[in-house]
Amino acid sequence: MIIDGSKAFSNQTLEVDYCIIGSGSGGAFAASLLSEKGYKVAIIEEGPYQKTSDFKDMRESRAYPELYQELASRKTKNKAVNILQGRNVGGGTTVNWTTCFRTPENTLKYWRDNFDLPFTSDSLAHHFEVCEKRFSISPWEIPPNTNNSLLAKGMSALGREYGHISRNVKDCYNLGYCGVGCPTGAKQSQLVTSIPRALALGAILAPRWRAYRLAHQFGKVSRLEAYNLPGLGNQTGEIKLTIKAREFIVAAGAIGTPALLMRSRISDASGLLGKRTFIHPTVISGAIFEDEVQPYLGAPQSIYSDHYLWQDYGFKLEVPPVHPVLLASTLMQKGDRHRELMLKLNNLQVCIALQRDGFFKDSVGGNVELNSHGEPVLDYEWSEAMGEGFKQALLAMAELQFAAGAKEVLPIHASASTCTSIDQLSRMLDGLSMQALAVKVVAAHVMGGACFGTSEKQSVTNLDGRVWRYHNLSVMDGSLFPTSIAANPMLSILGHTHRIYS
Amino acid sequence: MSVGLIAWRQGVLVPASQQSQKISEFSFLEKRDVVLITALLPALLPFKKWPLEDTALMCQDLDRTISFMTKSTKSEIRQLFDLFHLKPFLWWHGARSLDQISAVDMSKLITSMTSSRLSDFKMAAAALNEIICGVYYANPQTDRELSYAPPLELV
Ligand SMILES: Cc1cc2nc3c(=O)[nH]c(=O)nc-3n(C[C@H](O)[C@H](O)[C@H](O)COP(=O)(O)OP(=O)(O)OC[C@H]3O[C@@H](n4cnc5c(N)ncnc54)[C@H](O)[C@@H]3O)c2cc1C
Ligand code: SF4
Repeated sequence: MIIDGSKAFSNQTLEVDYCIIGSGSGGAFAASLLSEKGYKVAIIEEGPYQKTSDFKDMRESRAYPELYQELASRKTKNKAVNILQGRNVGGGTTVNWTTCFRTPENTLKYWRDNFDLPFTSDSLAHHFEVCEKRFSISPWEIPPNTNNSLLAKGMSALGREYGHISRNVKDCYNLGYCGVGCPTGAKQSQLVTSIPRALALGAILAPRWRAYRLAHQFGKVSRLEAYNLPGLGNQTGEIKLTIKAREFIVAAGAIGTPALLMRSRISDASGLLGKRTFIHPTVISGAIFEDEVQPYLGAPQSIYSDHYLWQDYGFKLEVPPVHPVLLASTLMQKGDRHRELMLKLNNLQVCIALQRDGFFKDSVGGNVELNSHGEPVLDYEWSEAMGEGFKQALLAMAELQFAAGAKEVLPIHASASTCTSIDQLSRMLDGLSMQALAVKVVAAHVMGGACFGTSEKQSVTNLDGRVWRYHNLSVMDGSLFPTSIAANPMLSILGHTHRIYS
Repeated sequence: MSVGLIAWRQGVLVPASQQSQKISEFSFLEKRDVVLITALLPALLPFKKWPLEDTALMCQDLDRTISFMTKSTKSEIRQLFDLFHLKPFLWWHGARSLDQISAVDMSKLITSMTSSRLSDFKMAAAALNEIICGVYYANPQTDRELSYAPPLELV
């Protein structure tokens, strides 16, 4: 059953076994697993329920307002980081780039040593295997597009390691529009896997309702109050959906989940609710090649390199799909210079370096706060040492781009200019500030803010995501992680969902 | 160009003199914002001429985009636009008024905001660039300018 808040005209009340808030990696998968066990489940989602057939136009102008949080222009409090997050049935999985990695062993070891978490690659292997099978995750056998193959070419010219990415796709047409919603249904997002499965088993899907508050007393949540979102915009209406349930699972993503718990004044002895929010802060390097690259065509991500990942303030190297609006809003140059770069789109190769945040004393992540409208905002700043890490990443990307044959390289920075050699670029980088608003930083992986752990003094939930001191309230999404994953996080979230709810 | 003419009503340009202060077809933009956008377009997108119709279409697209935003983002954009409506702000940057500012002077103003030591000004300049360029390139008509192969039509 579907109860669409955008068309609601009167208040409604539902009674179910499980009320799940958010339909992304964690929420939708938990919903299907619980439905399979015979529970009555309701899924509340603030984004719209759009189908594969709605994505046929493959247009950024449709996708960003309809499928992303804040039209894909969500920003940190100081406006220095652009945050991409999904806001639709399927959450991030509907718009993500299909890259799948298990949680790296180094990350798990760091968690064991610093947070007393018991997970090992072996103990999680079964859960990852099940998810890989269920969501058709396998190595991408088709040759990478030029954008990706230039990353491989550059790394191999430098004698440095790189690898091939596994993707969650079935009969993929290699189009490259994963970020605006897969128009063929090839991407095995939650939208085309767990959601239909849960619906077929009797789950209730309530899109276009924003969960506002959980009512609770003496450690027991009695109901969720949500409000409708008329049309496609971001403003809530006055029609209320009340859901009474035996269990409540908050899976609204690593900004939405802490925000809902904070609005509901959920007690938290650790003081960590909304704190330690990580984003894999990502810096960008553009390179112009003689031959066409067409960085918008073909599977968006198929090559990566972890060569620099485990050094200080290490980073993972990947490439993004580059479509016009994304490029236009990422470039920091203005006027004629902006146009000049836009006109080079077809010959542009772009690398991104995702910094592994949360592994150092000064890499403490951000804090989720509520503004006067009750909307969440992430306050995220970086230390000088993290800024140095950005510089190293920009240099490493330029080095590989030149090694792959780039004519010019431009680090995305307000004061940078294009360089024709690595020496010139290195000298320029020396003089560039890595402060907020100077260097372009983006993020598509939001994690933490309601971390799991073994004691209520040091974590928001127990190892199963159950909020300490609450009998029937859990978290199940990327918020649970105590640091960033140091790899694209979807499979890690799916794996823990399977561990907890299978 | 007289910016007072711009209002987009059901596909037709209507003289603004027939409108109230708030152009009724826009959910966010006010008449004075249209004056601001008319001054910004030749500075931020200087490679083309901005006849009345194109300016009106940009205003319409911009207004629609802003209408999807959250309450707090809308109020931040209001503050951003209002900054330019403050005469002392313009004077401080050497401009007399928005309806007389040249594209060159507007570019200078934005450049000085970008290099300002005040992070609010930096933020404001970056936000204007991002939103105006984002809205411009969201229009499929710009695909050809970029030789961006438009998406295939899937059957
Ligand atoms: C463009 C992009 C590309 C990415 N590429 C990859 C990739 O290739 N590989 C990878 O591993 N990861 C990728 N990611 C990240 C990955 O998709 C996310 O980390 C993951 O989906 C997060 O899962 P989640 O369950 O934590 O939350 P989400 O998937 O974000 O789902 C949370 C849902 O909750 C909803 N919600 C929030 N607040 C409320 C509320 N108050 N009421 C109701 N509903 C609410 C949201 O609308 C959203 O749909 C990408 C993300 C983006 C945006
Ligand atoms: S590349 Fe594959 S998964 Fe991505 S949009 Fe195209 S068909 Fe879908």
